[in-house]
Amino acid sequence: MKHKSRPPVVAVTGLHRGENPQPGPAVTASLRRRFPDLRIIGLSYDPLESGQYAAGLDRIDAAYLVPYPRLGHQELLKRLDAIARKDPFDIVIPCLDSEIPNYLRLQRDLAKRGISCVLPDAKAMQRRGKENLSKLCEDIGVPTPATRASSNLDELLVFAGSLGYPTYVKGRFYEARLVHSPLELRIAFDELMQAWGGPVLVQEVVVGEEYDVVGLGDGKGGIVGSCTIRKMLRTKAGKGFGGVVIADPSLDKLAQKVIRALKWNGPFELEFVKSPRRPHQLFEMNPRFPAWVDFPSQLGCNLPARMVARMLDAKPIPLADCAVGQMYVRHCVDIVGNIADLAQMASTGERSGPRPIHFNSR
Amino acid sequence: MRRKRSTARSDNGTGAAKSSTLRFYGDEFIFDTVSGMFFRISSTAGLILRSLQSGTRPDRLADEIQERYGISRSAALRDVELLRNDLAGIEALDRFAP
Repeated sequence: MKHKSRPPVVAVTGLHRGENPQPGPAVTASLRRRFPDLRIIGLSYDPLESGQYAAGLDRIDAAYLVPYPRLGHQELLKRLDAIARKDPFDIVIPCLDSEIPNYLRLQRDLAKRGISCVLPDAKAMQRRGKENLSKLCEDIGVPTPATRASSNLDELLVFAGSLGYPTYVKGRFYEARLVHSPLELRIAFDELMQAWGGPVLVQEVVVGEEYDVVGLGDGKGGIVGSCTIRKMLRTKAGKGFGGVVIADPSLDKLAQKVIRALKWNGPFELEFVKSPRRPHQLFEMNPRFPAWVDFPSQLGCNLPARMVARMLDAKPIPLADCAVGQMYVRHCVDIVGNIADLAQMASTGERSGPRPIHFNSR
Repeated sequence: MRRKRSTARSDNGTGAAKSSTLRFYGDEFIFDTVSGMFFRISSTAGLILRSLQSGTRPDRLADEIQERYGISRSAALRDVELLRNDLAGIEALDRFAP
């Protein structure tokens, strides 16, 4: 990264911490733990994304609306150029799956503008895609639930029939529905096609404990650092609202296999499910930090800070091993905003961030 | 992948006992560091698991229970067998089963 006369500025996306919390505020908090004075701007899709109003460690210094990913990379670039003219930034950390394809297309354009973005290789990104994960796992010998991806409803109905019901129906980027009949599958297929486009996935239901690995790939097949948890609390949508650090060598080996095969560069989250007496099965690989990434950061394994230090050509930040038995529980809070801030964001597409909270004041 | 700390270490300040992959928190709570599963257990089950973890031969367990609780040998034998049958159904703990 080029040396700039001003301190570096980082842009982070995925700011909403609702019932399906996005990773942006956790990435922001992790960065502030290591770089308290870092300027962080939020790239947001909606004036009501909760991270815009946070005033704690996860606060942002300014927020800007950006176009939805489906509008394509050129629209995104235009908007990023407009933002950079007003509020220059050096690093962008995309935190949502649906954004990554656009950032991959823009990587060179952004580099020309002096903006860095750590992304996997396009082929690796494709191989870990929901529609291709089954094939990847088969190629490298990692167990995975039986899955079929198709834009053809009839094909999926036949496959679901061979699995038996209930079965999962999943969108290309997000959402998983448990369906109990061909009729429910048809409805889910139509809705998911409409929301995310094809293909839609039908996946075997594997009942068991879920395990997640967050890590940072070095782009050469190695893992710079990682933390493995068992999800202790799961929402109806399967989101982990609590987790405990574990040490399972068999899970470590599976993670290493995947990252080595993909020569993965940058952040990742591997999601496994384990039925009793069966091996861990990889059911998803996310190409970004997860929403719980600030948990290992609090244990001394600050992966976002490590990544940003690398992008700034700074001395590598040491990563501690996450102590087995450390756990987190997600706690939702109400944060105060002012309708004037919402109005500003809605009408101009930008606003300054909230003032930091000083806990020793009133 | 970074190596996790050895699981065969004590938890300073947490009150957990040393074990290979099973941690004891008092007499009635155990945590398996590999699977991440934790269990509320009876104090008798805790005693049996601690004994097995520390290398007590299964045929000596009833003696320990009898001695600790002052119950008949037949009752002690039954308690041990019932617990070990239960453990056989729990993957995280089935290494303690017959």
